[in-house]
Amino acid sequence: MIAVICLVPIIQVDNLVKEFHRPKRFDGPLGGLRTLFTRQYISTRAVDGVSFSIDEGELVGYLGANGAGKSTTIKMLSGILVPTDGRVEVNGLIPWERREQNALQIGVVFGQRTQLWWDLPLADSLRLISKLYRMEPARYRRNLAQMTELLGLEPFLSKPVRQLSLGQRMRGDLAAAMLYEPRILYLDEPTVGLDVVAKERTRQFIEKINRETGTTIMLTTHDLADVERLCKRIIFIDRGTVLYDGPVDRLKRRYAPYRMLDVTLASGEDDDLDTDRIQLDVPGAEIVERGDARLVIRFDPEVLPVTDLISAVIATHPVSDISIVEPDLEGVVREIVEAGEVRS
Amino acid sequence: MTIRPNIPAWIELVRAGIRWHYMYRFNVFVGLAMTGITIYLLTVVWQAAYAGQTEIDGVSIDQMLVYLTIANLQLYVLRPEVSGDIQVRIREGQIGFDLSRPVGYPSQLVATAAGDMIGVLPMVLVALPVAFVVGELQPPASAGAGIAYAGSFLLAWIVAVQLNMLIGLVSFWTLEMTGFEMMYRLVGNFATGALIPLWFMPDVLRFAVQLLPFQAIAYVPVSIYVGEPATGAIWSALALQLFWAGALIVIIQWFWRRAFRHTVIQGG
Repeated sequence: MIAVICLVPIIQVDNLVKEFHRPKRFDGPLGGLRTLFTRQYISTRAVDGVSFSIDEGELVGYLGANGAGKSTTIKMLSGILVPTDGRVEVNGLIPWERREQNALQIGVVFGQRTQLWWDLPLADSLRLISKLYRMEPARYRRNLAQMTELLGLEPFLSKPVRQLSLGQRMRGDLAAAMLYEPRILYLDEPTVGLDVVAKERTRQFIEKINRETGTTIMLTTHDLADVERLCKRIIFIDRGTVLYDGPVDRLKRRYAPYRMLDVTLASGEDDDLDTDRIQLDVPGAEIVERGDARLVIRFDPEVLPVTDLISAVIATHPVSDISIVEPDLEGVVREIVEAGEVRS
Repeated sequence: MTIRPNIPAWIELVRAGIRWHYMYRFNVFVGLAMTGITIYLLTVVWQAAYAGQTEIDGVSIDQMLVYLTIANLQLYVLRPEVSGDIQVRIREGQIGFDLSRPVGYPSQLVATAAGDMIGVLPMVLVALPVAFVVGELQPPASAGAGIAYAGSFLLAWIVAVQLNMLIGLVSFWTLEMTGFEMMYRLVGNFATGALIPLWFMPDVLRFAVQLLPFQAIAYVPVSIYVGEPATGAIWSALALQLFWAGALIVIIQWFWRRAFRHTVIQGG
């Protein structure tokens, strides 16, 4: 085993700001004309002082509501937008100043669009990309074969991109972004609009790429199942500022410290099981729902280990089934977005 | 550190440009028909203008008709779509991908435009008989004129692409530019000298047109072809084109750096 020690993060973002300007609009008579000649501008801060750093090999979820500034950040990191203020270094390069060198080390997928050429067959698009990214023919053939196998491209390699289904096109886009083995991959909503099978396939691919090649991945998505499945760490932004940066677990614990134990009682010899009368005398646990032969118990795993609770329940009641319900990220995110801040 | 030129990528983009040209086959034929009609109308008009005289101001009617035919055939080939392509990419938000390539955006555009031009060349074989019927075709005035014309044609292409790109880059500021584009086409088409050679323009107008780069697209090369080089001598005519080609490259470099800082990418 070789231990890789990263002293410098691969992505370093300090106080990043992006302001957009547009001419002020006027209403009323001659409003259109005034708009045409005005020198007054309205500026909006899409990104307002974002800082974070990402180490090599991390897979980070970059989350936030629509318009929070996620895509704008990604565009600045990939060097296609120049920020108004702040500093970014991606593997030692300032992306928008060394755009072409930076391009060689990053792969980009924007789920809403395609980087493939609409009129060319998928294979031709990939070939063109291999040339743009200075790939040796042998390396191109090897990687193409690998991508074809991993993503199952074979059936539609020779089809023009405009004839592909969304799922096929997305697989083509993932292949295009990873073909030249970039060290960093920016995925902006890679699962948007996909069916469950295609989503799962995409997730498997992302996981495999990150695990096996150590590619650093920044993932933007609205599907929190993507995040729960793939990311250990999330950065949550709202209105252009970072609200939370840390492990997914910690955020969940902070918001939903409780877990639920769902218990189905065995009827046994008692014909009528009156769940209303059941008392649970365990500190740190509380019955929150009583149903027909069913109890939902809320407990705090920090205070009461789940094994203790289960033993206590089994000791006093006949149980036929038991399951632990984890809090889901979706509820947490909804609460953050509605409150506009993260609880400390 | 400057990045070394990526020649295989350019070759591949040229090849893609050639293929794209034939994706829009219908356009290829419409362009050909328009060229035929233009040559025919100009021939009729100029024959009427000469009113039976064989020569005006030292230019024979034959030279004149050959000039018009060659100039418009040439414009058929030198009609870069760079500006329109930039606008479409910006409007659809696809420009982000173009900018995230390890090849500079202007050089991507030039390579694709080269493919587009090479793609249209075989169509000249179809266009020549059409031009022969509706206009007048003759070989170059001399062997020297023929060779100089070949070089001049290449320079004309460079100027045409750069000018078109310059207009396209304006759309990094204003997203809607149909009107601007129409104005450019109107002024540009006239100032190339493909409708009226500069010889026959009134002094004031000729002076203005001579200050503009458009003449390098049609008037300069075609006047070499018919043996009446624009500036009096072939070498100085080529030098004029070379000047514009170089100047436009410098202007575009400067303009492009500013346009890039102004990028707004449409959509989330």
